[in-house]
Amino acid sequence: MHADRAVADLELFLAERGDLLLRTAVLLAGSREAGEDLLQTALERLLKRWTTIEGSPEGYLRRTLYHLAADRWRQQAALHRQLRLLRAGDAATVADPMAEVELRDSLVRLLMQLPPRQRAVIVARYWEQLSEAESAQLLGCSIGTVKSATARGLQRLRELSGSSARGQEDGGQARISKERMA
Amino acid sequence: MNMDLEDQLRLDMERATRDVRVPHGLAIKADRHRRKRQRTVRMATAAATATALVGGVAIAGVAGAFGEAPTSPNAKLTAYVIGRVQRALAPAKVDDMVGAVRTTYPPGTTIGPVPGGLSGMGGASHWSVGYVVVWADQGTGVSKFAGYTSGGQHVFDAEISRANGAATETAVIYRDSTWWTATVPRPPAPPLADCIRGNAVYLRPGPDGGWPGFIRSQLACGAYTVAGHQVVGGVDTIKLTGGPWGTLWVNPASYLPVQVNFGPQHMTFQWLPATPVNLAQLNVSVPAGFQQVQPPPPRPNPGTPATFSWTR
Repeated sequence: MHADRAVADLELFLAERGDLLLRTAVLLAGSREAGEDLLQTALERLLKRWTTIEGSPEGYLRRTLYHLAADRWRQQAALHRQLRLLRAGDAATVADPMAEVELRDSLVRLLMQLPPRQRAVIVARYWEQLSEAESAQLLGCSIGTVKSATARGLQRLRELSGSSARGQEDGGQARISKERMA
Repeated sequence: MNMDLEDQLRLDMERATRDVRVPHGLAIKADRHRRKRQRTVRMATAAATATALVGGVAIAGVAGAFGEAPTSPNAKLTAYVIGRVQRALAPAKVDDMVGAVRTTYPPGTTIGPVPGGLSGMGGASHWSVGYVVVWADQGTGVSKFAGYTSGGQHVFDAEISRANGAATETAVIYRDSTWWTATVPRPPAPPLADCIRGNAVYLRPGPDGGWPGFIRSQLACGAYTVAGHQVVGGVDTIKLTGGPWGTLWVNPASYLPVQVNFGPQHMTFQWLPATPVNLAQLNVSVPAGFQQVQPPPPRPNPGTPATFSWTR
């Protein structure tokens, strides 16, 4: 009974704020499907702690999204390692559709090549438009970590987009020129 | 700091997620999944404990089968693999596929087509069959049963097509050059049991039915654990054991079933795209010169279409 009411309340909340949360999740996860998966997992955690959360669940949900986004890839990598161990002596890798990137816009596509922590910082800073202090609070790290992860993330994006632009320039389709990156 | 890159990043993020909308019922889905996962982890833990209690015999069996030191059943790994299989078999994923399931029967099995499916095991009018290949268009529910002797001789074909709440079956018996056609009422979809414990499997037609729906429902009962890997049909599969109705081997790349062992029978699966060539496998045509005969009596209980059964 209590759980049903929590789910109903949560549905109402999602009708209001769900799209934005899912957009964040998609950017963190790399695809629509993986984003829905990520948000659903965060919702499961929220439901588990529903009675102890005061006020709007959004803060908890957003924190969970970001933490899961970093943890999830570590967990999946560990599970894939276990599967490979079970398949002793087999060097073939297990195809991971989660690694497939459906997002086609160039910088978002390149964003998926960043390590999870850097990606989370970039999404917090440039998608959610959070300050360094707010990002640090959301991610549970120091402001210095946010600064360095942001700088490294942007630098890596710059490098990746530079090589991508060079590749595209060959075909006359450069969207982001090296000059703009400089 | 390069503002152009940051501006471009914001723009791309906005553009890439512009059409993203949260699906209705996500909280309900999350709640269901949370409960199911709790159940799965509880049962996997219980299974792991039981395996540990059984002791050396079980462990020696696993080690012998896989040639490696046994890894104790891992609830998280099992939950992950089962989740992937469930997703791979979800209606949205398999509706565009043609499934081919080859069931191999023990020697001496007799079986034949009757209105509503197959009937058998010992009936006087049935034919000795080594294996049956069931082709099914997962999207429409159209299916074809093709029976062969163990030597590969074609014994019969039976096609069931569905329209307007009724199914029409056309069967061709190659062994006596006859054919028949019959209209069979569309059976009501029987509810999927949480966990099959009897000696028969009921595959309901329609969305989320057939083998995909059945396997999904049985994995949800939570008794399966990852038991290692095994090469089956040339695929280095993940093996899932511990369920009440058999052992399941899945492809580690697609997470689709490769084989199921069920009592004395085993089924091998092929999952093909629904191309015109593959869909053509579902058609049955009556060869010239074959004589039309009256169809045999329908299955005794068309409301519960047992695809096959066995006695423990």
